[in-house]
Amino acid sequence: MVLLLASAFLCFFLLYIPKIHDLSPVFSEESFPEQTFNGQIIGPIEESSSRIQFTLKDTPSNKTYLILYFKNDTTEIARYPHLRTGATCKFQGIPERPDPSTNPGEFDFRNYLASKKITYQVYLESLQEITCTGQNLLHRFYTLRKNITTYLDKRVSTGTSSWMKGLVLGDDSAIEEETIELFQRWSLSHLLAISGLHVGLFVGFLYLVFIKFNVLTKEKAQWLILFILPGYAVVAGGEPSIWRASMMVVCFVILRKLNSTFNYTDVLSFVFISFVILNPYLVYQVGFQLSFLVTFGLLLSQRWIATSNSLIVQGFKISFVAQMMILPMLLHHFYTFQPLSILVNTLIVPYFSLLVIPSMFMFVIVSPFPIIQVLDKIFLMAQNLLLTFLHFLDKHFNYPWTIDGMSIEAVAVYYMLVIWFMYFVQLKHNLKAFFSGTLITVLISYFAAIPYFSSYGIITMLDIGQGDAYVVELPYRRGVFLIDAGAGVTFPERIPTNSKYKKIIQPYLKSRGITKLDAIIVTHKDVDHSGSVNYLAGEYKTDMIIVSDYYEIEQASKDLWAQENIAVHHVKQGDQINVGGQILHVMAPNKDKGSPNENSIVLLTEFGGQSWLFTGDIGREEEKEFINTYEHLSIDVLKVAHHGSSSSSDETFLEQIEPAFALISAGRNNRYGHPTEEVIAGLEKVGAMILRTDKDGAVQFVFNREAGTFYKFLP
Amino acid sequence: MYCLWCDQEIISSVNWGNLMLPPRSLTLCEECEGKLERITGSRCEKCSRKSAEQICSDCQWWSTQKREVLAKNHSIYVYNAFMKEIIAKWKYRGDYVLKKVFEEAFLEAFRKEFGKYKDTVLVPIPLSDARLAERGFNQAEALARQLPIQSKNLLTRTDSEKQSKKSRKQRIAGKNPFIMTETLNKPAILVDDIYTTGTTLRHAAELLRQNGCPKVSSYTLIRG
Repeated sequence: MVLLLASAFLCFFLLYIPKIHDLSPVFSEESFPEQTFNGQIIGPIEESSSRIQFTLKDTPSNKTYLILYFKNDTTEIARYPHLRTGATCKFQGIPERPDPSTNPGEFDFRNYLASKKITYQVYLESLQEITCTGQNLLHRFYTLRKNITTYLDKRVSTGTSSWMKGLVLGDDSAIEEETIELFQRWSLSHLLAISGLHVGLFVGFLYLVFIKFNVLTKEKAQWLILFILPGYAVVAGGEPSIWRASMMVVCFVILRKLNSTFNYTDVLSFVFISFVILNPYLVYQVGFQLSFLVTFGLLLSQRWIATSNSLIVQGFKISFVAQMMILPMLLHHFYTFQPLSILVNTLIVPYFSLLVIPSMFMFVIVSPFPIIQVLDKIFLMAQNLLLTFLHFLDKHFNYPWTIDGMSIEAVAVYYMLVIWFMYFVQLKHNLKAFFSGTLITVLISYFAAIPYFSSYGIITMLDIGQGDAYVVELPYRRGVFLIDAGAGVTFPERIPTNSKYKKIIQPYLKSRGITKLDAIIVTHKDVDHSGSVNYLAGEYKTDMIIVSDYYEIEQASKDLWAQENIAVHHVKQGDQINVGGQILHVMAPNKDKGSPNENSIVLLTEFGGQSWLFTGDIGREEEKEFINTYEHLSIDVLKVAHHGSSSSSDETFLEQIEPAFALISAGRNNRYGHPTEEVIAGLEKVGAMILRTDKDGAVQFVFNREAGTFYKFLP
Repeated sequence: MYCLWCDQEIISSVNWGNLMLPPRSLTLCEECEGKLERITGSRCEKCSRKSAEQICSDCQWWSTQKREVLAKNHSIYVYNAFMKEIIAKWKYRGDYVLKKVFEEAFLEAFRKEFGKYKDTVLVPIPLSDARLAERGFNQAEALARQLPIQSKNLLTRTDSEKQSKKSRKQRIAGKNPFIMTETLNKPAILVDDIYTTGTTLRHAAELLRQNGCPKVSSYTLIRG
């Protein structure tokens, strides 16, 4: 009977929850025609320094669109009093598909929007071309949120207001990115997501005010809370965690009123099922998954936690259960797990829940009074102390496990083992608990060790747009190195940015469980080849950086590399580079050509029985010199020079080396027109199969000793 | 399900211990269940009393008296105020169904403690006829019936004075109130609801040993 019910439920959910992966062409050439949109704004109007965005439900098609407006520059003050939640709007626009991810490990914006039921986005040229009328109740809540935000910014320092906004209103956009990443690394992000802790404090605070000060009777206070809580959920950002927490409180209050008895897990299940039925897409949201898993785990552990009298032990148990519950999710979404974070949570969570969060609520209330200035200063001092402590930990005790997720079967086994483990722990069967705990560790270690036992190596041409970044992972993890690590630049100032590093290179390395680099070979000094080297050097333990004899290292890089103990090697024609047993022959440069591109290091090596030639950005002249020096060399895989520019890939060069595969890294619709038709024609003429990042996304070559295969990331 | 003690509806909370198990029928709600105090931690090896010493002073005294007839006693609960209330209602006010409250724990602890004792006979401590008529049931028999091995009423009681109305001295000095109706040449486990001074159990044990029983232990719900 129970099994029957369970399988019925399972079937229902499997059928009810829509799949978000769509099979439509990833980057279609044709664009959609301009059309008229007519619909209602749902959700808040979000503004950041660079853009304004909101979602609109188009009435005729009943589809949800993401509407974006990019400010001309960060100083633009956008006026949009007509954009209100609930307003009915009309405008002309061209729907577009949002960008999918084009690299392994990269955040997939298209899937992310799909998980919010949005499959198209529309860019607005100006905010005035859209006409809107009306608003609804939600607008008032969002306005309240915005007004509190503006008011707090005025009353307290930026540092304090960023935390107040984060912890009371669920808006962490003002907290420094570095801090957010620090919290992420140590599994403390849950403190930034408004959840049970905050809702509990909020309700407790209201209760105190209403009842202790005899404002209302207990009965009336409960009714009031029923109405205030959903309002608070909206004002505080409406993330799944806060809805979960406040709906659970609402259920408890109602059940009490009905004089019904209940148990906590039933209420949690009820809230879960209602959420999923109302919006099946929720299951794809990380916050939703983590919130319910942790709550479920903690409810099951109540009895075990209560067996300890010491608050510290209880805190440790809570952190422990929370981490155990979400481990597979952490590995799936973020590829890392920090075992020490359990201890750090034990320390930091009480500090936040007993001091920081209550004081944030209190600060909001006393913000109109002058005393806030003093509190502001004290809080900043305390918070700086905390951050200093966390940075200290981060520097000296940062030993994360990086694992590229676990297979779904392994996740099932993992949770079975956790249930088994906790069963024995609760019953105090220490020996059996130890045994099952060991099995859990073995399971996780297995996934962490996979790359070290794999006889396959991988070469990845990352799609970083217009620029080069090749990651080479040798079989059995004998060595990991990069050939070039480019960065993007801002226009028109041409300042290098870390976005390619943060969004593509670092996530890829993380997803592969790479924490150490044996070498970074920088073919030449242009930003599109070298721009991310220093970000890598600063974050990854790097053994050596290899540049050509004619590469002038600027002082800042010199200092950084010296500080990180990175050996710097200069190479020229005739040298050999050995990384983890992989020999790379340096074929060029042999003299200073006076410009970075022409001074590129040219490398010849062998992977999976194929000869590979990496050419950096050399030009036709260097190519001719190459074929003159190495007359009878033929190449299997050619990294086409200079992103497929016509200044390279000379016909005589291509004809002599006769590549079977040609790798081109070029940006989608780049301003230089790379790769040029001429280069493509030349490559096709010699019969090379062309693999290009602008069409194929990242391209991977998976090889063992004898052979290898190319895989395109985009179908 | 309603709590046998406070009559509130029982809401069983789900925890790691019962997550994957079929629902159990419960007799007490969590709050009342929590008021029962189990004997945990270090206890006297001989009489189950909570004690830091291996053998408590009580048992040390007993061992100085002639020969020790009782091999050991095992008990489950501490005789706290809540337990006193339950026992009073069960025994003296005839709420027979309250025996269910201890059923599972009594059986479980028996399996753990005496499970390997094959070919052993349970001997419940009897009530006198007058007492039995007054109460309607013998609590020791009710307890013994919940256990998986055979139980024999080998003893009858001659006096009818309540032990619980006597002082410690009076109890220990009192004469043996039991008569054996049948001999037994197998090991026996005496069953009773409560071990207070151990005198009653030792009187019964003495009689059994005199009549050919090689070893006598006792199993009691409560160590008073």
